[in-house]
Amino acid sequence: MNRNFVFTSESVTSGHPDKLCDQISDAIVDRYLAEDPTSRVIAECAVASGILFLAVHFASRAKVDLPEVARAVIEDVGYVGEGFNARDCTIMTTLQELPDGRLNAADPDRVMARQSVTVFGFACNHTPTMLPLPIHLAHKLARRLDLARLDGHLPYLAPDGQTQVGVTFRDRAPQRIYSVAIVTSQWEGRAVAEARLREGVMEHVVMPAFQDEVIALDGRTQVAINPAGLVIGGGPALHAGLTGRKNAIDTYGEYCRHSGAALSGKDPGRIDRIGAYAVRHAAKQVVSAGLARECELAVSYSIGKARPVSVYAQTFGTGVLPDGMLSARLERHFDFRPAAIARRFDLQRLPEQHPAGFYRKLAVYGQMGRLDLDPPWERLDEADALREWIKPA
Amino acid sequence: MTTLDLLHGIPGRARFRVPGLYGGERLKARLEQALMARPEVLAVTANVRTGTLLVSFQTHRDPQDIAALVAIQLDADRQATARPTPTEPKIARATPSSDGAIPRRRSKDKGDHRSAAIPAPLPAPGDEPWHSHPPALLLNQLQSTPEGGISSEDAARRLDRLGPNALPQARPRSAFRILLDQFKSLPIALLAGSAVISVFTGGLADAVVIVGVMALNGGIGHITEQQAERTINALQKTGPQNATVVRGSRRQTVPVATLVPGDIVWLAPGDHVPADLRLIQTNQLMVDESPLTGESLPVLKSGEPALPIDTPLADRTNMAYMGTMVTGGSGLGLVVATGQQTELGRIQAMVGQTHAPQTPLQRQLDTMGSELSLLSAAICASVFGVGLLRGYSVLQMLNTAIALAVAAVPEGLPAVATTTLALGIQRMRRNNVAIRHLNAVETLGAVQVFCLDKTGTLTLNRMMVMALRTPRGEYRCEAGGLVIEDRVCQLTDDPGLHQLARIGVLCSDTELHPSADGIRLSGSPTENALVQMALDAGLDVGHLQEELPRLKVQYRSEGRPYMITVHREGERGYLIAVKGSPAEVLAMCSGYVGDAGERCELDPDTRASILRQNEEMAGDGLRVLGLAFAHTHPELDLNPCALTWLGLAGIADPLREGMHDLMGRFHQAGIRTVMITGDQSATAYAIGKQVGLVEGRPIQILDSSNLDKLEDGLLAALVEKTDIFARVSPAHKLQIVQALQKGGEVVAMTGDGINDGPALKAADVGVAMGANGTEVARSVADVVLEDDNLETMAVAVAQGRTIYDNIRKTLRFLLSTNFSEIQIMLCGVALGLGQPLSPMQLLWINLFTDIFPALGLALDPPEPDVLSHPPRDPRDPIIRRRDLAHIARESAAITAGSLGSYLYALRRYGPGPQARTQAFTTLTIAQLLHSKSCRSEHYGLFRRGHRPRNAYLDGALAVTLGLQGLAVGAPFLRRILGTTPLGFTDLMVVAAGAVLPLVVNDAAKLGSQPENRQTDASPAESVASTD
Repeated sequence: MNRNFVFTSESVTSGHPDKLCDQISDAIVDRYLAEDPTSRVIAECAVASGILFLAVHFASRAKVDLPEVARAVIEDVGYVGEGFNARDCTIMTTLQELPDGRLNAADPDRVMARQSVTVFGFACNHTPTMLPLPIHLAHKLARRLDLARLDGHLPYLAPDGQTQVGVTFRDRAPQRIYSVAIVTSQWEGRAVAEARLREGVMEHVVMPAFQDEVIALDGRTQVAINPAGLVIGGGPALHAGLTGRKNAIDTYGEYCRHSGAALSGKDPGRIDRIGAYAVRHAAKQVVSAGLARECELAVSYSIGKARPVSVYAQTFGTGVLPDGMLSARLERHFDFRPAAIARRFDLQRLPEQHPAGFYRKLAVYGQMGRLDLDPPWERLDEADALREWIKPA
Repeated sequence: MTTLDLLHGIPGRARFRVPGLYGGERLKARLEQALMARPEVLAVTANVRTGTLLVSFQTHRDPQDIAALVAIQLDADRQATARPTPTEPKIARATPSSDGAIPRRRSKDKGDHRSAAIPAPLPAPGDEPWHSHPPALLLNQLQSTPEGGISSEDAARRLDRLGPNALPQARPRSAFRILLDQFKSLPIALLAGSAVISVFTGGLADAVVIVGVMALNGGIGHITEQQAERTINALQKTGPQNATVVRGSRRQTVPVATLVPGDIVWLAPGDHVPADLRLIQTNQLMVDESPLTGESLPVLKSGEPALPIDTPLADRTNMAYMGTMVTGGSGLGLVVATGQQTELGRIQAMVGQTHAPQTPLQRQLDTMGSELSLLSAAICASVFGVGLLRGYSVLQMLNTAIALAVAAVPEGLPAVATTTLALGIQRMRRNNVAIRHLNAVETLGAVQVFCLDKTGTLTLNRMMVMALRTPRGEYRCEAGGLVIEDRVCQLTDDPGLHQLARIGVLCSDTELHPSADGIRLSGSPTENALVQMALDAGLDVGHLQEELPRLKVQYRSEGRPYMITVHREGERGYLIAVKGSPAEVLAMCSGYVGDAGERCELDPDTRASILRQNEEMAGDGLRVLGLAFAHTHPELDLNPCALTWLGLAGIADPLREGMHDLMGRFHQAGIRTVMITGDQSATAYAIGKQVGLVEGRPIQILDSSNLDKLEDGLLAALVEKTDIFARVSPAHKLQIVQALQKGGEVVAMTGDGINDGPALKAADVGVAMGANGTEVARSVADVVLEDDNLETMAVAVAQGRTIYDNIRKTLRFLLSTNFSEIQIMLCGVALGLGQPLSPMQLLWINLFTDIFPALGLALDPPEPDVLSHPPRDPRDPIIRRRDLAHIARESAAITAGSLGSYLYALRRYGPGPQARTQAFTTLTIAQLLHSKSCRSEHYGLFRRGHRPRNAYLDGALAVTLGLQGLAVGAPFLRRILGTTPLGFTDLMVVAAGAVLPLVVNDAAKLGSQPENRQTDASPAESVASTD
């Protein structure tokens, strides 16, 4: 296996149409759960030609003004000027009540997986977030890009933007930054020329993002800023967006495998969402307990069964225990049944505890490695227990 | 130079967007005049509603040249008008027309070149920015002061120049106009044509008879429509006549029509706002703007200095608009616009520019009419040709051919159609539904989409207390009284509730006006709701108000979302009554009324639970008020923590009864129901669910405050799917209706407000509320519900469909019988059998023996399933290809029977009157019997089905048989028709020749299965989730 390579991962800003849809979907999930933690809700969002479509299936006691929720997100993201904006964009909502009731606490053995899915969790020691370095950096750049726009440093920036970081690996360990690419849009009427844009982005985005990184830019790093020319306007007026189209950005930047199922817009009754959190949690415990330098955990669920069909860990030759043994132990140690996950992480009540929104914040800058939100699946609460496995008897 | 936006250009025609043309009547006139003077320009139409200019020009000209021409004209115009006339500097700006707008735009154009290339976005309808100017500036511009107003002389001058403050009355259709409209249809034109032909070919008698039919037809239509017009006009109320103004520093009352910009107007409760006013001073001024904005709650107005320029109409709290009504408080306003320049005037102008669509029946009858005239021409030619070949004389053949041509046209149809439609109007009148046009009766049956304006149509547009929540429990207010836990209770059962009702009465400005039909309340809707609730619960409100006179009042205002009144109670005590925002009122309470009437301390848990109840009630779409009281001395300042909490009152504009059932009936009839509302989506969804707006599929809500931004095509695609239009401003209703129509749908729209006018007119069927609706809405509607009972619409739809079905049955009857006549004549001539029927006999059949059965068919009772199948496709022709095949078969059978009978007589008696009489009688009776067969496409002699009897048809058949008996028996008629008596054998042959076609035709029906018409209903859509 070739262990020396360049790997790139991308991230997008909060104003990217796909991410906008993810945030709206999750803001809706937040609102339903905040009012009624037993809500079931599936919120799909699409935006095209400046029209926002919402398809929401729900079973809840909560009464949510969906277009208002959507408008609030659009406004927060920064679409307030001419063109597509929070105040008067058209929103088409399709509402249907789910027939089979709300989520109720029940015996975990009797709560079956409602979806057939294989979820992947990953952790590695590249960064303190235990995310692969490329996606970690891409998120950091995206966050800086939004920050520079919102705090007024780069007032010409529009909310839609994209970042990409390439990292050179040697023996599966990051060595240097190979390339950085940023594409950002600018407001019509406020746009600046390429040279000034580059200067501004370098000063307020790229430099601060790499400031406290162990691996910083070097002289050979290729930094491209809007290499294909300036983008004016951008956002939903320019290209369409859809909930669940940025799965790689939500997870590990394609450094490892990820499930095809989207995470955003689903209530904690959906195993294809919460399973991903559970396996990330387990993988993170493995790496932090020193059982491996990197670990990918795949767990398969079959519809109608509570327990997963398979639990399969891979450590890419960095494991202390054989992969087979590790898999078996993880399956025994962690309760991967849907109801058990929801209960362990208290997923239904998180929006209630975070008045400004919980899932909605997860929906941009990645759902994993979010130390800023302190989600339960990032806690290292089981690492000590796992460490016991390799303690000399 | 100005650059113009070429919106659309083809050789010879171009449409431009002209900056400043929007709302600029004067610019329009000047531009049109100047451009028409140019030789290359053929026609110019400037539209001040859209701000566009349509120019027709010589085709060899380049549209760009024309654009340049317009631009030059525009620039010249600006230079001419930019210099204000020194003598009258201000008023020109005050009239909201082009003169004010152009110089403003121009200065912008100069400074910024980009904005010249991209014309500034058009302001939303009604965007004279009065609200964005400080009052001082406007006063200065209009040379007026709040204290002095303008002088009477000045007012007279302005009145002279600007015209009276009146809207052009939507003139009721004159009697002559109604009569003229009766003769504008194609079938009538065909009739007239055949009358003319008859005159020229010497058939004066025919012509007289035909003209008689036409006159009868016109008469019936005229009388019916005039009656409807009268009914609708009777609903109109006379508007306010006088206004209180300050002129020359004196307060005086002047007729509303004489108001001019610059006048200072006083507003008091009950006043209609007489013109568009910029408010200068207000004191708790509440204005009911529902006619203009659809908002059923009155709006608190304030003399706000200036609001942002893009503030929507409904939020312009510093303006009062003509046509709205003051419900409380008082105010002083500066007249800024009068007459047609007011918001109301603009909407009326918009109504004038909206075109009422042609009804589907009109369209279909016109198409059919022109096809029939082609057909009859072809028949004439062929019969004429065949006859000449056979050796008949030219004159003889001309006569026959023309008689046939006349025969091919269903003369009876217009009469039958008019009569049925007129009877339909009469029948609906009995249900208190006034239908303005004959054709609207039938269009109702073709309706595919019903757009329902929520406020005033689905709801009562009247606030009512829906629920009360005291610490003891939750009461629902129902027709039978207050209900708690499914049992009716009395006020006295719960001391807290009793006190709540009393406080609701005391802490209000509502006055009682006992009248013959109960007690009328005057005051704000929410307060009225509370007082009505107390009245309904049996409280003696009048006595209470007398017993506890109000000493002091503190109205709610900015920063104090509650109202306090102080009342004398007994000798020494005082009662303080408080109502307002629940959270604020609760914060001032320290106790609540316990079960037995004792005062209990409010603990944090109870507070929290009251607030939760408040949120719950608000979540149910109720407007929630908290009520509290205290006993104290007025000298003491009100201790804001010493009140006693009573409970919450939830108020809402309730749905009309029976709406859920009505929606169900519409859905069963395949009619999509669409709700249009200014509400937020969550409220709209709750109401949509409550009324059952859609069944078995997700509700689709379109939430947009600015539909203008959508492309037309996109909107047309979206409206096809939408069930609820939420947050829609009234101005967009027209857009919604037109977008639906663009998708080929026949649209009915209900409305009651002024702002509904354009949409009501544009809709295929505009339905206005008669009792609570506005005059503008009534004056353009096709249908007016006198008692606001929407449920009668289902009856109207059933009737419309029945009428269409019956017109088709009649048409089928008339066409098949007429075809049989043609076929007989054609065969006779072609086979050399002589003329089986004389021209006079043909006319007799067409005018008498055809018409009575046709009328009988037209009165066929509704099919039992008339409301359980989807509406017909409006694009389908009234007679489809399949129907033509049936008609051909049926007419062939009748022809065969009659020809057989004729042949028998020919052999027995030889050619002549005897043989013709035989054919004439057989044909007539066969046709009469055929009318029975025409009642249904599927049922007949051999398949009975459950169909109601048609007594009219049976009667018509009896009458016609009698007539036919006379035709053969009465000497007078015998002479005219050239008939002879028939013997017994002859009669037997007649019977056989007449009955056999019926047997054959009804047997053929067995081949066609009654279709299950419900299969068209669209399957429930499902939305799959993305994974």
